Amino acid sequence: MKTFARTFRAVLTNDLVRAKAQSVGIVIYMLATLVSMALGLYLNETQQVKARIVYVAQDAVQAPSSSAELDVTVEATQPPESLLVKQRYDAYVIPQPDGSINVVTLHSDDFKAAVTALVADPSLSIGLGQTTTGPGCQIIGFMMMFLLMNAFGSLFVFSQDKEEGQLVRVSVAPTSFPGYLFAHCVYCLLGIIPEFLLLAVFQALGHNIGFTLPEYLALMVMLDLLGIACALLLHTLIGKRDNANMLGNSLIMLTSLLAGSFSLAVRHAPVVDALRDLLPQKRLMDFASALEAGVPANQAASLLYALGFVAVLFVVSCAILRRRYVRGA
Amino acid sequence: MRDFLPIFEMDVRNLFRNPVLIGYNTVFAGGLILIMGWLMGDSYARVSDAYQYYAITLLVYGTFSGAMTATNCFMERDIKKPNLRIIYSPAGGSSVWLSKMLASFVFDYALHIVLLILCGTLLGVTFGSNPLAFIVLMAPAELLGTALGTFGCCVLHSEELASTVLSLVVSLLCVLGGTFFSPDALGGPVATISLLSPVRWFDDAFFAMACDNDLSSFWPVFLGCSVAIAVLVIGCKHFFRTEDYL
Repeated sequence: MKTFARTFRAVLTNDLVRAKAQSVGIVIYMLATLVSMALGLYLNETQQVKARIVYVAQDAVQAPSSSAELDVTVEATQPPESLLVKQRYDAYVIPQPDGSINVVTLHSDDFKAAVTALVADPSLSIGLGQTTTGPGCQIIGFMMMFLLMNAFGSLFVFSQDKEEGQLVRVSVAPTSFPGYLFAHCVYCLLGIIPEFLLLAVFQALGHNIGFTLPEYLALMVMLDLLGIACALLLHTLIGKRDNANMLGNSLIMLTSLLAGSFSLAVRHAPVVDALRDLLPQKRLMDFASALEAGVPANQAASLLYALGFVAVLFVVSCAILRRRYVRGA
Repeated sequence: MRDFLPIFEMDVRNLFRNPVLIGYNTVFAGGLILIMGWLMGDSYARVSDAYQYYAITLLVYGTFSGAMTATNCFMERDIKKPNLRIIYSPAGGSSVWLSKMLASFVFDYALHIVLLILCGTLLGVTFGSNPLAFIVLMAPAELLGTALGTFGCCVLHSEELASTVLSLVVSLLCVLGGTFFSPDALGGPVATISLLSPVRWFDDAFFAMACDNDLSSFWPVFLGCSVAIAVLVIGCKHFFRTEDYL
């Protein structure tokens, strides 16, 4: 226990000293995460689902007025199609000589019918689809990818040791290997402090952030542990640090988007949903959603799954490391 | 030039032997287009329109991510010792970073053209009435990405740090520029802030070419990109230090 504590203290101090050399990268990671969180909160507070249409007519008098569900721009000529693909506008409304209107849109026929009705009577309340994501899940969804990447990047302290042969020295020195790994994990977890402080500031400024600060802390620690566990496994399995980093960041981006990062996972299909349910990030988001709704017990299994996933990754990584470096231990 | 070509050839060959880099520029990029296009398919009446959006934005993301290919090619641990030899050979120091930059460009450009052809044939993505112009405009964008990566290595003097910083900067510029969701759809300040991201400028030019057959952005983007590449190349020459390899 004494060796554990001594190793832990020495390695953590060493990690903090080494972090100085990486300060530029750490600050940029931090800023990216903070910007993303602020964007998530801003979108949640301001997002209003409106149909943005261009009324194509020489005379603006005929055009319908903007309303709570309709944003009208009047143009003399029809704008290019690329603006529909980029979703700057949802539809182009072209009045016909017989008094009817032609609606050009890339959205569904239901949307076309809704726009036709809104143009006829802008005061109608059609309900074009309000977002159901709460502020807490929105913020977690926006920070998830960057938080995981940050955890992955922070484990450079381990990957550098491994690549430069220090790990072999550590394993044969009179030190505690679990203490060494634990110190690295704690160092990575320290990376969530700025994000946590920003959430405290949001709350102090009176914003509705969805969760209490302890709840946020628990969710962020879970996400960070997931990132650390993935990074540890990949750095253990893959010899080259660069390759592990590139593969890890790619995997994090793909799986996070699929799991609902940036609130993008809107489409459902049985096979994809089943695959999605295998992702620990998705299960954590499910738990966060239930937590925000006040019924965390409904998704307790999801939390256990995510915790189990992290535990399995840690156990496998440690077993491989033990076999490779501390065989005699 | 005679000294430069063998180094360049070797760098290109090394890149095409790296399965992780090949996978990153093909499987990962293609997978991202498939996943994002599918996820957002409900936003359009036809799923092919979602693929159209994400094929273009993610190709631009791929060109900017060329920075990571360049950092890997430039300062990877195994390549540092051969680089040190080249620095003291008659080829000189500049041939090291210039060769890495151009080799990464050739590598990324070739793989992204393959990806573009696959998107066109398998997902029904269109690249306008003049796809050749689209492919030609991708070249300065790709070179800008790799020049950025090389410049990052020369300034930060560490592959890992350069890769980390650039990866984050590129991801953030892409999020703001509309790679993952349309900033125009969000309206207000988000749409305005996104105009500051160079990713957005490329997206707009490529969308105009692909969807409207509008080539009016071709030369402004091409020339702007060329100026930015020239600045980065001068920066590489200024900041490159032999001591980084010792």
